[in-house]
Amino acid sequence: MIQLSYLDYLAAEGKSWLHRLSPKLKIIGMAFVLLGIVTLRDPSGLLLLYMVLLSLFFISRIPLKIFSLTLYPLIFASLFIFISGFQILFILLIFLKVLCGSTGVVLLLATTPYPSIFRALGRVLPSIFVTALFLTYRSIFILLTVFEETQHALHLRGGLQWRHPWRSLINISNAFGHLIIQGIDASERMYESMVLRGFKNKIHYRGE
Amino acid sequence: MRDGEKIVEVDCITHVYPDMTKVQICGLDFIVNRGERVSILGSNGCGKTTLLKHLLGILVPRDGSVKVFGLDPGKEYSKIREKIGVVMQDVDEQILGPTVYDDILFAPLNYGIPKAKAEALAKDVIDRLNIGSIQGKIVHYLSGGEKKKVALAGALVLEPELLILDEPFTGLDPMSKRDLIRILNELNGEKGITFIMTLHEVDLVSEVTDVLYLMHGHGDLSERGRPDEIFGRFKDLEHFNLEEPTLTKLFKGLKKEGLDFGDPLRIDEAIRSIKNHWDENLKNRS
Repeated sequence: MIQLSYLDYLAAEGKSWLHRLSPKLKIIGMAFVLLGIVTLRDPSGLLLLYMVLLSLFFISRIPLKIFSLTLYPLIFASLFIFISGFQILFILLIFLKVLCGSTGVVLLLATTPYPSIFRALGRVLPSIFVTALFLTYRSIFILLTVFEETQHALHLRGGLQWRHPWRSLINISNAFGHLIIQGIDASERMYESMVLRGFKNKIHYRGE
Repeated sequence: MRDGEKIVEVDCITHVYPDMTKVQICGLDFIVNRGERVSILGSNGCGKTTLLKHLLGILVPRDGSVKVFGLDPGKEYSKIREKIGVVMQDVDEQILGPTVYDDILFAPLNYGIPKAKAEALAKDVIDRLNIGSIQGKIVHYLSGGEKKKVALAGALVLEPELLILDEPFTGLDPMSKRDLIRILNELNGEKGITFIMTLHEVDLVSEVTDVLYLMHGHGDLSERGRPDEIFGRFKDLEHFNLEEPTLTKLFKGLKKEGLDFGDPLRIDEAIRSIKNHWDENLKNRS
């Protein structure tokens, strides 16, 4: 299970030079990484970019278990293996682009507290857009908690058993439905609370 | 397993949360014998729920050991799962069926119990908890108290040997609390179900507890005993962030005024004590 709270902790408590670097500069750096991902067509260029990102990752003393987060998007990228007709160069290009993107994002999130990221973004993007992004990010924490709790409930009540695969699949699909309802409920309650506390389409961050 | 046999043993466990908060449940060993009603009292954030999650195998300790029915729940929970019923603090987390009836049938069907038998078990528990009127309702629209009963029904349907309840009285109105106490005591008396619960309601402890544990700080289990033994030592309990039971306060106050009616913890005991003293007084005067 993705430990987003641990990622948050790392971002807030880290002491490396990358942690101390201004969020604005890190976001600009991330923008260059994205530019590189989009424009570079040569695997060697992308490999160099990836090596730079990996070096930054280890220089920042980010624990190895966080590194595994950068590998999740490869699950989806692997679809391109079939679409490309097994062209090695094309597959390598796609994988490197995905890895550069995911490593850059995880590096940014692991070295910058997320309120700082959104505060920096708020200076260049419309506030409603940044607020929506911020609330989406917060909601991921909440949904992951609900997901984890649903998983526990399934486990405690015998909902996932390999010897009853069909029943287990039914329970998993019911649990997703349950998750969606909980998610909608939580977001409605959150919005009601925010309106009661004077929310007017903009979240103010410390330091503004 | 015979009555009085240890079914839960926890020996000084350490858990570290993702935000690096460390909880060390130490001090006394946490032991629960078959047939006991065990309560854990403690302030918010002291580790009560963390302890319960270790018993359920949801959390695994970094150090120390946990044994439930002789097995490590972190590794072998599936072997003891059917013997344990759970009611979580937030019951929305554990109610998974679309309707009340579906949710009660959830566990029996998962364990491959034939539908007819599962329905018979569900009917028994619905009757016991008196929730027949809501069995067809969509769970989402139930009140907090009704959801608690549904969660309890789901936990009891397989007639567990051990029931684990995390703050079961939170959010319930007084009548629902009374109801729940009655049901839990009946289950313990008639079926010998052992239960472990965490709670904040000091006034309810004596009605539903044989053994009381006090927890404070970050998991320090420092007191174990009968409720009357522990509340009798109230001077030492302030640092647990606990208020003494109302009856204890009342009778201690009366004692200070020279009226010693003993230390009853329950209303019926208090009534008996006052009546006995009254009768004694009348006898002495005549």
